Amino acid sequence: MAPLAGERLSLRQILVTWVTLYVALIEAVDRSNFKTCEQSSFCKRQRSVKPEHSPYRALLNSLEVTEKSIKLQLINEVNKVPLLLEVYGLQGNMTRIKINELIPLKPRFEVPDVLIQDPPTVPLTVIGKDESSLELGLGRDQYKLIVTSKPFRMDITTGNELLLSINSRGLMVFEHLRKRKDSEKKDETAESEEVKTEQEPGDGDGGADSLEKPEDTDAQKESEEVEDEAGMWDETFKSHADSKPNGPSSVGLDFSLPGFEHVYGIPEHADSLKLKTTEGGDPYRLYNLDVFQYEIANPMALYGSVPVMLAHNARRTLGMFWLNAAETWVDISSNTAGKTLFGKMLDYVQGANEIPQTDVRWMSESGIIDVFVMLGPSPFDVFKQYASLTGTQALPPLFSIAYHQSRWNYNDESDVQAVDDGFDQHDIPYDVIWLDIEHTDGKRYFTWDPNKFPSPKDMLQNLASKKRKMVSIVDPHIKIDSGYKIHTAVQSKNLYVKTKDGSDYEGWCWPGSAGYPDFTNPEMRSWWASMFAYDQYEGSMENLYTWNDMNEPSVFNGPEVTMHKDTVHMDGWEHRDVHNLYAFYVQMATAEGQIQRSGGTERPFVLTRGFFSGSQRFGAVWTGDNSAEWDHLKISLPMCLSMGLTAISFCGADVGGFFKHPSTELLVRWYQAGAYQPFFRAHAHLDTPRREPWLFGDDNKLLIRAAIRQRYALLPFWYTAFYHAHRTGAPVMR
Amino acid sequence: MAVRAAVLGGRSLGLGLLLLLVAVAALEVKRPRGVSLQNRHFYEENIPFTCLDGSKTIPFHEVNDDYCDCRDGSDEPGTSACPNGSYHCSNAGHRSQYIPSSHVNDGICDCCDTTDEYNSGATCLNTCKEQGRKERETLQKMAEMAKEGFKLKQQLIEDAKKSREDKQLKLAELQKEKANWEVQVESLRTLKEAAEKPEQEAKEVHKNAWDEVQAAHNLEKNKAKAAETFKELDDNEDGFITMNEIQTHAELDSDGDGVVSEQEAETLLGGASHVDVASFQEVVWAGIQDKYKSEAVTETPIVPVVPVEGGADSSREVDHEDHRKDEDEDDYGEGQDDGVGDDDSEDDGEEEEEEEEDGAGEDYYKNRQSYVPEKEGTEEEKMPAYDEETQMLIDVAEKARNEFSEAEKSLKEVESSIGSIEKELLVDFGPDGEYAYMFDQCYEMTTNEYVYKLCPFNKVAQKPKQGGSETNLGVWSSWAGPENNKFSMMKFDHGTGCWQGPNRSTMVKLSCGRETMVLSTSEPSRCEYLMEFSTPAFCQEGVHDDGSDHDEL
Repeated sequence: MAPLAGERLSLRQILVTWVTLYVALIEAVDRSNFKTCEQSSFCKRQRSVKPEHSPYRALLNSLEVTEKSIKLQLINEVNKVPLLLEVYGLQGNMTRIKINELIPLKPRFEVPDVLIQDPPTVPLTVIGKDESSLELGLGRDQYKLIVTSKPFRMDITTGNELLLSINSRGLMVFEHLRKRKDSEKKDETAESEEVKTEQEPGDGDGGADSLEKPEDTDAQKESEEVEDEAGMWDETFKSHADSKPNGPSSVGLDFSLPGFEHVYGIPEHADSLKLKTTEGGDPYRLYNLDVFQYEIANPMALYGSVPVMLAHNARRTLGMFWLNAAETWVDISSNTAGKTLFGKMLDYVQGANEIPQTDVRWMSESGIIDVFVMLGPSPFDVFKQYASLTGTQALPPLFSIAYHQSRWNYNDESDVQAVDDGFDQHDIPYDVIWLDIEHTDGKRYFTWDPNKFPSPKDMLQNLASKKRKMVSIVDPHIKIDSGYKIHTAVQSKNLYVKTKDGSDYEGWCWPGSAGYPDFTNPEMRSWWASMFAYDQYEGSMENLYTWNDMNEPSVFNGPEVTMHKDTVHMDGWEHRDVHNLYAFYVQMATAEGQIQRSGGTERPFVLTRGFFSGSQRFGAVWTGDNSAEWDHLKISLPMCLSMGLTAISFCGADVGGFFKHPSTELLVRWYQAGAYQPFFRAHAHLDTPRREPWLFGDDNKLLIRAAIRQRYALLPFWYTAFYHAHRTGAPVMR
Repeated sequence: MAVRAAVLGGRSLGLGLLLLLVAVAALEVKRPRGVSLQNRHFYEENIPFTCLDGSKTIPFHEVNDDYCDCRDGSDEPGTSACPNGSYHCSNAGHRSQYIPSSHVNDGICDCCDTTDEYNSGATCLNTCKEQGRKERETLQKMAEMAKEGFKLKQQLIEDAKKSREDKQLKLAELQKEKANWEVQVESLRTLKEAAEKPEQEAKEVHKNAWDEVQAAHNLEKNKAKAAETFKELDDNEDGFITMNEIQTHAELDSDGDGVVSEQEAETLLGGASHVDVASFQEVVWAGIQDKYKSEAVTETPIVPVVPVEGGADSSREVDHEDHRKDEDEDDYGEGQDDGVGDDDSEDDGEEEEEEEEDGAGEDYYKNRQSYVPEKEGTEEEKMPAYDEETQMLIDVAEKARNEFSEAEKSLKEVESSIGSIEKELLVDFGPDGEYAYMFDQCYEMTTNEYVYKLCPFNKVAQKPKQGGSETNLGVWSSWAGPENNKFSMMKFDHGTGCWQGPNRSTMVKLSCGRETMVLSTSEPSRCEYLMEFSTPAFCQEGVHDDGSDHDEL
């Protein structure tokens, strides 16, 4: 009897847990699930470096001028680790600055596939050089780059105007790869190291490291090296351990923008268009994450990342593109921030000699420093410059800029039919109906639920007879099921992301236990693309398009709801290095599949939730799982405007709001706003009441219909705007 | 400026040779494209056209010039120029229909006669004949079904009427019965009260007598106890108790220092230095009997027993505690037994019950605590049986009581029957009571996952096929069809609550059919269910002649 009583109790406990969870869930984002800078050990280390004399010195004698670039060595005067600085003059008024270790212990990750080509260069000219500085001509318009040796800094000028300074605050930190001190000593007992790691997760203070020190005989090295800090070789967040076999590897650099008060970009954040200063709070974070019920007006990371920032004033616009796919934080400070209008006026009247200035600091967990400075000078020049690097918005098929009707979920074929008929009955135009995850056979993507969707082709044919399309969801997590051909194929081709121990990584997502294909591998991408062939994706037809959700990637039981950073991708790169590229690659492979299935004749349409620089080449992006609240309607504008500034023009928010139940007025207003945003789709959570436009009385139906019809009336205008975006990189929404 | 060219109705007929024959008859009457025969007279050729809403008059050549002039869209019946216009297709061979103007020349064939796509390049086939035939077949079938259903419905109405009459008769009968019972209950109550009065009095007398006997007995006993104590205390057996002798009993200490001082002893002895038996019994005993501990180990219960700390009494308390533990364990065990094999959903209810049991158990325990010692103390001192006369009075009263409660029970039964009949009579079973036959009936439908159960006027429920508890999808609320067709929809609400959602509810859409059965179930929105339900009760006579446009047939 007793065990039974126990079971009952535990049932109750589960219930209580559920209720607690539920309460937590409905109360918007649980911030404790996501790291602050303080909790991300590299960010903490980087940020703890204060403006001071930089330890870096440029060795001007090492100058090497080639046709494509100039090269210089930098040295950290404290640890004597040599770095290599490369400066490229790029066509179209851009400068690329790369800093890497001269002789890294092992190669450091450089982001592939994002640039559409090796950017064409213009030769740099050495204009002047003395023992402490070097002056380079950047090709045209009197743009100059001045390298100062000690402490190392760079300044870009035009005429006698200073545009941009690099490392002027001395915040550059380049953590060189190193051998683990204790492992060097004890590599004969590799096992004991593992044991140690397990025993002291996240606790580097004291312990073996400091015990080792006195015994270290390599006195020279010892004196140079900074002592290991907590979190350098392992890190724990909540219950998740991050083993860091490569140790510290972060990079950071500061930029000063004299004369600029306003900076924009670095999506995706649910925040204002103009970026805020981050002093006293967390930096803006770029780390693709599935944030449940995100909050607005804060710098927390969201689903996508574009490390591009624009600085703008009345006379000129500058752009910075920090090409790094690892977790990245961006600090912004300003000498005018916090000043009231009156204070500014006072400065003006009293002739304050301080010109306004914005300082920006980029910090990434791994990889190299690879920055493109886009010198404008007009905003449209910057758009063009950035487009020349990463490509422009793919020209969408016409139907895809029309109205989309979605909900999690249209339950079955007759439901789809009824909704489709409803639009005709109510004379509301729409072009695409969407199927969320419930359409699949047990969350096995590329399949159909045999009971609810027994004849997908008939359904698609019915839609096709009205020239309508359908989008089905295809997420990148693959159900681990030996009877599922996608899984068995990826598994047998050995294309899943691996754990640090070399086995297939498994995470928890919609289907339960799931594998994550390594989309960084071109072989994986091309196989994935082939799965969209009509004979592979059974039940698919020409008018079936694709939605890639959960591709941050979302891992329900992973740290910060994503993949462990020490998992391993192709060529041994850690997930840490490639994280922000995962969604980019998923959408790339999916779009490629759609191109291939038509023999290259049809433009693809793929919606993605996660994204990176360059994602504009593959389709549309939406702002993820927002809420049916006025604030979320409001924030959808700056969110999409920010993406547009960084070339991702095809952006929209779930009309009506995903979570919760919108008031009728909010729904109507959202349609009226959404009709004027590039991607126009109504979508709703499974647990919300139905929202088809005719369910709110005649008056509201007519209002919604009018909004949708306005969209249709303006389609040629939209299409043209997209064409311009496609040609020039200029944002559609502006 | 748009080029305005009047496009009139008499147009290319070369769409399908086979269909031409059918079409010709229909096109005899010349009128602008997209105008129905009924509306033809508004569009007289070469006479200025006035918008149907009267808002504007335009030259006739601006009708169907692909430019929207009228706010109501009536000047463009045959183009897609007006956002709110409609296009009429004759659909010869089938039913004519209006389609939204936006569907004209949009490349999609809407009218079966193809006329909506006269300038889009879409290749449409005239399917009116085929569709018309199919629809007529369907209509015929439906009409037959409606006819049959309607016949069944007449029977249902007949039955309902009869059953209603029966119920009313029964109700009247029951009302009468109720009145009878009420009278009877009243008279029995009077009888009962009359019999109870002498009974009460006799019992009182008996009890008082017994109380006196018992009081005397107790006094005697107490005195004996005092004498016994005296003996015990009188250590030197000199017939007096002195202060010294009293001082040996530390429990008699009154200031809490654990020692009986001389003053205390003197006080106990009533101010005297020594007392004899008589004054001990009269003066001293009353002061010490509560505290006094016998030197002998034997326990001599005294009435009333007041718990004394330590000693024999405390061991009894321990007993109680043990006992209580046992009881608790028993309760727990019972709880478990109840739980085994039961569904989760019933847990809640059970828990409440359990709590009640627990509560009852506690009361029981409390009662026992005060009751047990008394019982032990008075076992041999039961009240003697009533004398014959009193017993007779008691028997008489008892009989009156029984008769009264029997009558009262019968009255309640009758009232409850009346209640349930009245309740049923109050339910709206449709204009002619045709839905009455469903009362107390349930209709099931099985899908891949669930068995759905519809019990009209009661509730809707869902049970997983694989076993598991039943979920309430709503209890009967009301008829919920539109005003002109109230009985086309049933509403059930306040079902089991949904996670992060509302309480489950179900709408049941009725249709005409021979059988009474659930045709389909769906969940269009989370926790909002829709059922289709066929019944002959919904069948109407000749319902399918419902004003569809036959003007061209």
